[in-house]
Amino acid sequence: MKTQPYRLDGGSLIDRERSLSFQFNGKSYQGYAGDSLASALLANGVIWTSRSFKYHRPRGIYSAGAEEPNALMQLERGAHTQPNPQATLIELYDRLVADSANCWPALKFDISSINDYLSPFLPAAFYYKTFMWPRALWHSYEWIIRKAAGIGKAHPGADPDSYDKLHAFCDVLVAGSGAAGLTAALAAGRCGARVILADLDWQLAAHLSYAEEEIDGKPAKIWRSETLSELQALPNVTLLPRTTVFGYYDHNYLLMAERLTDHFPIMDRKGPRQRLWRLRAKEVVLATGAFERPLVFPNNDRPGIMLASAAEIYRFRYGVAAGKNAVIVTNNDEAYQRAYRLHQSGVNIRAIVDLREISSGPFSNRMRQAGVEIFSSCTVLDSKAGDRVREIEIAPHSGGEVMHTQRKRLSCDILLVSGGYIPNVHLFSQSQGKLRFDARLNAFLPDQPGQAHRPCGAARGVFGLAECLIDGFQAGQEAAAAAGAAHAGSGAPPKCETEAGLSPHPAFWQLPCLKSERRKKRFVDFHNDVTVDDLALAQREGYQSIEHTKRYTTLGLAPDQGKFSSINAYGIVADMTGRSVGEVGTTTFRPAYSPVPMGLFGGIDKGQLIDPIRKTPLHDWHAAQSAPFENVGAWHRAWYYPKSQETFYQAVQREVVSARLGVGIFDASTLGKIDLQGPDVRTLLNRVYTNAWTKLAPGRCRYGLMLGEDGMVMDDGVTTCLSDHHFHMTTTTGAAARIFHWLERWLQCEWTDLEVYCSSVTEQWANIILNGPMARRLLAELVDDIDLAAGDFPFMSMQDGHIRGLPVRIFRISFTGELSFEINVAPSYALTLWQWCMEAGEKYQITPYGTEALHVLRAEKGFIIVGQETDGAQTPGDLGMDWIVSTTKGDFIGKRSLSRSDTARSDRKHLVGLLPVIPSRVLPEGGQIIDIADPRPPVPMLGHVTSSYFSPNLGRSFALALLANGRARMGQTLYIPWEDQVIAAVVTEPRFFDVEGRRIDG
Amino acid sequence: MADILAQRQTIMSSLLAELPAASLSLAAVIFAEQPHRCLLQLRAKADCPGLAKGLADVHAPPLPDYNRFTENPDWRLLRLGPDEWLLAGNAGSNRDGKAKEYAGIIHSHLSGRGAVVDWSESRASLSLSGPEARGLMMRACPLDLHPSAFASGHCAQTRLAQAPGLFWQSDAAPRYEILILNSYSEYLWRWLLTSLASRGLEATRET
Amino acid sequence: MLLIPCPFCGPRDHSEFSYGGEGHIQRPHPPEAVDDHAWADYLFMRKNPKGIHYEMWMHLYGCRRWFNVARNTVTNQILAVYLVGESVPILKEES
Repeated sequence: MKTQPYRLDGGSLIDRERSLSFQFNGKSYQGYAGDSLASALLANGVIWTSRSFKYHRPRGIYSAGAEEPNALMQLERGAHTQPNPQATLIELYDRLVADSANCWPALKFDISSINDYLSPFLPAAFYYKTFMWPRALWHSYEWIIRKAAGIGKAHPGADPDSYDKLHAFCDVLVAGSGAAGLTAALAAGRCGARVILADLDWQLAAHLSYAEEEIDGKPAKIWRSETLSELQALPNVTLLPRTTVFGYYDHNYLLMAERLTDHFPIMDRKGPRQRLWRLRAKEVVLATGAFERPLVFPNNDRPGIMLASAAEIYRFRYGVAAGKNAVIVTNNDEAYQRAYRLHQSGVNIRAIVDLREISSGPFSNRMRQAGVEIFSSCTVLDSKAGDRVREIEIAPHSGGEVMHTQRKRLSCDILLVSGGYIPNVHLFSQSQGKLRFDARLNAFLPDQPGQAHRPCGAARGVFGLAECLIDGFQAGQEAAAAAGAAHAGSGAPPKCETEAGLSPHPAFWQLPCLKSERRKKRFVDFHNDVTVDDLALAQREGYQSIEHTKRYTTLGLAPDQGKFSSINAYGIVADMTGRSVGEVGTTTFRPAYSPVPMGLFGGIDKGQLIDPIRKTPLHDWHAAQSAPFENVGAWHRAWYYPKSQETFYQAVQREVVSARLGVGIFDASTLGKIDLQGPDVRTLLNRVYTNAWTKLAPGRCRYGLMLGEDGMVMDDGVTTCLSDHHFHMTTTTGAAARIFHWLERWLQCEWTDLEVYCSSVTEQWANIILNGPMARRLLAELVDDIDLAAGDFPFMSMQDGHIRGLPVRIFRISFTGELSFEINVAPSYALTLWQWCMEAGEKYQITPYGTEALHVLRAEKGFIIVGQETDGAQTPGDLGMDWIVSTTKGDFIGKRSLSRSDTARSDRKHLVGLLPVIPSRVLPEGGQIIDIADPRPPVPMLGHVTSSYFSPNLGRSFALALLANGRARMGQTLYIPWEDQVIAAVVTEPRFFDVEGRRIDG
Repeated sequence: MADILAQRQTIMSSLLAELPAASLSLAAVIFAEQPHRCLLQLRAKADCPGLAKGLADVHAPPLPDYNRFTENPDWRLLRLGPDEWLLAGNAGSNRDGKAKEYAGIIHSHLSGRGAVVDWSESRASLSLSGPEARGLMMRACPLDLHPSAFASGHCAQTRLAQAPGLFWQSDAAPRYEILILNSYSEYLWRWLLTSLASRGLEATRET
Repeated sequence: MLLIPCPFCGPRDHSEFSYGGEGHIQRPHPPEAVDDHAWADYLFMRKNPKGIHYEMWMHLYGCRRWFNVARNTVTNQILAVYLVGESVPILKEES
C-alpha cells in the first residue's frame, strides 16, 4: 500500500528529506518534518480521530489551528502522557505516539457512544437536574459519572518534566505573526523599540510561505524570509515561535507559554519542557487574526466536515489533500477563491453549495468555467458518513423555507464549510477591551480598548493581505512611539497588489432546516456537544442571559473558551429571543486562550522550594539530633528531640521534666525583635501597648500586650529599655513581620508627629535560652563579667557582657515560670555558644527542649500563646488580663473599643482551665464544650479547648479553654464530646503549676 | 580575640562549600560570598544635618538617589527609602567586623534624631557574575534588568524568588550583589542552583 | 496583576506590595468623645465603591512606605499616587 496516499506535491513548510514515523491508535504511519500531527494523519487518510465529549460521536479533524474542537489526543503513554492536546497544534516528531482521547475500548468501538442514542434523555443540565437528586444516592452513581466525564486522562504520578519561569519586559509585544503581526514587529523593531513577536505556531508568518500574492515586488514567500532575517538581525527584537500568549491581565501583564522541547522525541528532550514568560509590555499589538466560522446544520459534526481555510492550509503548507472529492458550502466569495486554488492543485471540487442567491466575485465565474457545479440558494439538510463523510443532502431554500421536494444528494469525501470570519478578539476581550457587533461582518469587533493595546489586521476586521500589511505596520509604528521608542525610522509599509477586500457575507447562524430534520443534532459547540436544541431548552427554561445560557448548556466552556463556537450561539439565541446579536452580547473570554500544562505555573517552585523555609543558625544542630521541625510561619523550629526509640510523647514528657528539675536549653532565635530609636519611643510604646512605659528604667524589661483597634488581643512580648531613646521590642515568632509593619503604619500614617525609627533585628541576634533551677549555676561557669545573683541580676532585667570573650546580651525573662536566661548572641557564634552550653551543662544533664515542651511548660503556668488561646476575638478581659490594661494613662490602640457594649459584656467567652475528671484523659484541642452529658443534637456549644496536655509535673492532664461566661462556672463539670465518647472535665482557674510564682528566681 | 573570630561561621559559607570549584570558563554563573560584611542601616530625616556629618566622618561616599548607590573604595551607600540608607563595607576595605565602631561614630553626630542599626550579622552577602547572571536574576526577581532599565549603580529591594531581598549591580558585566536574610539564605541558594541545574547550566564559586 | 508606581521606588509589580484598604479614614479624636455608633463606623464601615477608590498601599518588599492610590475599581486603572498627608487629588471621573 502506498504510504501517505493523500500527500500531494508542494507543501511550503515541510521537509520531504526528513521522514518521521509515528503511531496513532497503535498503528504506524509516516509523515515529514514540519507536519502537524493533524496534517500527517490526513496525509495518511486518517480524518476520524476522536469521539465527542458527551455523546461520544465520531469526530474528525475540523481545523488547522488553535480553534480545533474535535481532534483531541492522548499524546504519549506513561509518565509523559498529556491529556487533550489538539492534533492541529502538535508538531510532529519522530516516534511520536498518540491515541484518541475520548473512547474506550477503541475509537471505532466505543461503549459510551450509546449516549448518542440515549441523547433524548441527556439534555442540557442533565447532570444537575438528575444526579444531584436525591442526594443520598449521589455516592452510588458518582463513580459512573466521573468515569464518563472529562476527556483525556492525566498520569497519576508526578510530572517528569521541569518548567522554566522568567520575568520579562518589553516596549511592544506583538501577539500573532500573520501579515499584520509581522509588519507590526518590523515597524516597531526598526524604530528601536524592545519588541517581542510571539506566535503559537512553530513557524512565524506561516501563511505568507504559500500566499500567492507579491509583496514589494517579490513573491510573498521570499519577502517573508527576508523580513524574518531582518527581524532576526535586530538586537532589540525577540522572535518567539511556539509561544502562546494565553493570558492578558491588568496593566499589560501577559502570560506566555513557550514550548521548548515538546517537538523533540521524548528520549531527546533536555532541559525544561516549557517556559512561562511573565511579561510586562508597555504596548501590545494584537495581531491575532480571525477564524473561519463553522456552519450549523443537521449532523454537521461528521468526520470529513472541515473548514475550507483548513483545507487550504493542509494543501499548501503541508502538501496534503484533506480529501479528493470535495463539496464546499459557503455564504461568501472568498470561499470561491480557496475552492479555485484547491481545484487547480489536485483537490477536486465537485460542487459549491452557496447559501446565497448570487455570488459576485471573479472566482465564481472561474469555477463555472472549470466545470464545477454551483448550487445557489441551497442549504445542507444532512450528512452521512462511515469512517468519513460520504454523502450530503442539499435542498434549495427561500425566505427561510426549505423546498424539500427538490432535495438532492451529493457524494463527496470531504465537506468544506465556510461561514465567513470570526475576528479573534479573545485577548482583547480578556484585557477588558469592549466589543461591538459589526453588522457588515456579522461579528464582534474590538471597540473601546481596555489597556495600552492596539488590535490590527483581521483581529479588528481588516481583511485582505495588502490592507493587513499596512494596518499592522501602522500599529507597530504607533505602539513604538507610544512606548517612547527613540527614533522613527521605520521606513514605508510593504506594498502588495491584491483584489478587493472582503465581500459582505450574510448571516446564517444556523442553516435553513426542515422541521422534520430537527430531530438530528445540529452542533453549535463541538467541544462540549452543545446543540441548537440545548440553546432552545435554555431559553424555554428562562436562562436568557447569554452568561446563564453558557452555564446551563456548557457552551464555550473548557478549552474552547468561546473563541470558536460562540458567535453562532449568540446569533441563534438572538433569533430565538427576538433580540439583536449586539443586545445578546458575548460571554466573558477568559484565560487561558488555549490550554497550558499546570506544571508551567509551578516552574521550579515545587517540592522543597514550593514555599520559602526559614532556618535558624542552629538548624543543622537540631537536625543532627533527629529533631522534627514545627512550621511557624516560614520558620522551621525544633519540635522535640527524640532519643533512640523514644516516642513523641515520651520525648516531650522527658523534656518538660528536665526543664523544671535541672536545666533545659532552647533555641528561641525566631522570636521577633524590633529595634526602636528616637526621641518619642516611650510615647509610641504607651500608645501601642495596653500598659504604661513612661517609667521603665534602662536595663529593665516589661511584658506588654498589644490590641488591635477593635480591642482584640493582637500580640504580646517583652520590651526592654536600652536607653531613654532606645528600646528593644520582642514579638511572637509568627507575628514579627506583622507587628513591625503595624508600628510603621501608625508612625507613617497617623502619628506623623512622633519621631521613632523601627528596624527589624530579628536575625541580628540568635537567642539561646537556659531554663530551670540549674540555669544560673551553668551560666555562671561560662560568663566572664556578669554577676548572676538574683539581687544583682533581677527578674525582668537585661545586661550586656561576655561569655568566654563572646559579646552577649542576656535577658532574665521567662516563658515557663522557671529561672531563665535568654542569651542573645551574633548568629555566626550561635553554634559555638550552644556547644559550650551543652558541654558545660553535661554534668547538669542539660536537656534541649523543643517547641512542644515549651508549650506544655507555659500552659502549666497559664501563659497564653497569641494565636492559640486567641483567634482575634478576645479582649484582655476575656483572657483574665485586665491587670495589664492601664486605666490611668492616655489613649492607646484599642482602648475605646474595650467600652463598646459588646466588648464590655460580662458573659463573653473567658479563658479558663479544665481538669478532666479522669486525670489520664487528655482533652482534644479544638474540642467543643457542652453542658449535657448525653448530647442529642442540637446542643448549644459553650466554647472550645485551646491547649491541652498531659503534665508530668502535675501528674495529670489539664487544658486551657475559652468558655462562655467561664469565670462564673468555676467548679462546674462540663463535657467535651469526642468521636463516640463524651469526656467530663471540671472548670478551674487557668493556672496549674507554681501558682504562687516561687520558682522564678531558681 | 583571634580565637573567637575563628569560631564564626555563616550559613552561606557552608552552602558555597558544597559547590564544586569547577572551571570558570565552563560556568554559567560564578558565586562568591563576602562573609561578615559590615552593614549599617541608617535612619534619619534626609535633611538631618548630623547625617551628612556622620557619613563624612566615616569617609562614606555622597548621598545617592532612590534605588541608586554611590561608592568609594571602602564603602557602598545605598538609598533604601525617604529616611533610610544602607552603608555596606566593600571587600578588602577592612570595614568588616567593625560595625559597632563605625555605628558609634555616625550615631554621635545624630543627636538622637536618627538611628544607626547594625545589620552585619543578619544578612548574607552573595555576589553572582558570569554569562548567565542576568538570566538567573530575571528568573528570581520581578524587575526589568535590561541594561537600559537597570545598570551599574542601581539597587533595589524586592522579592528574590519568594523571599525578601536586596541587590545591586556593581559592574556592567553584569555582576550582582545580593543581601539576603540569613534565615532565607539556604532557600534562596537552593532556588538559584535548582534554576540553573534545571536548564543544564553549571555554577561555580570564586576561589 | 497591577503595576503600582511606588512614589519612591518607581513602578513595581503588584506582588511586592501589601494592600491597606480604604484611605483617608479619620480616627476620631479623642476616641472617648464619640459614641459607640461613630466608633463602629470608624472601625468597620468602608465605602467599597464601583469606580474611583482612594486606598492605601505599602511597598512591603521595597521601601516599606505607605502611600495613597486612587484606583478605578472597574478598570483597575491607577489614576493618581500621592503621599500620606497630601490631600485627595481632583480627578476627572472616569469609568
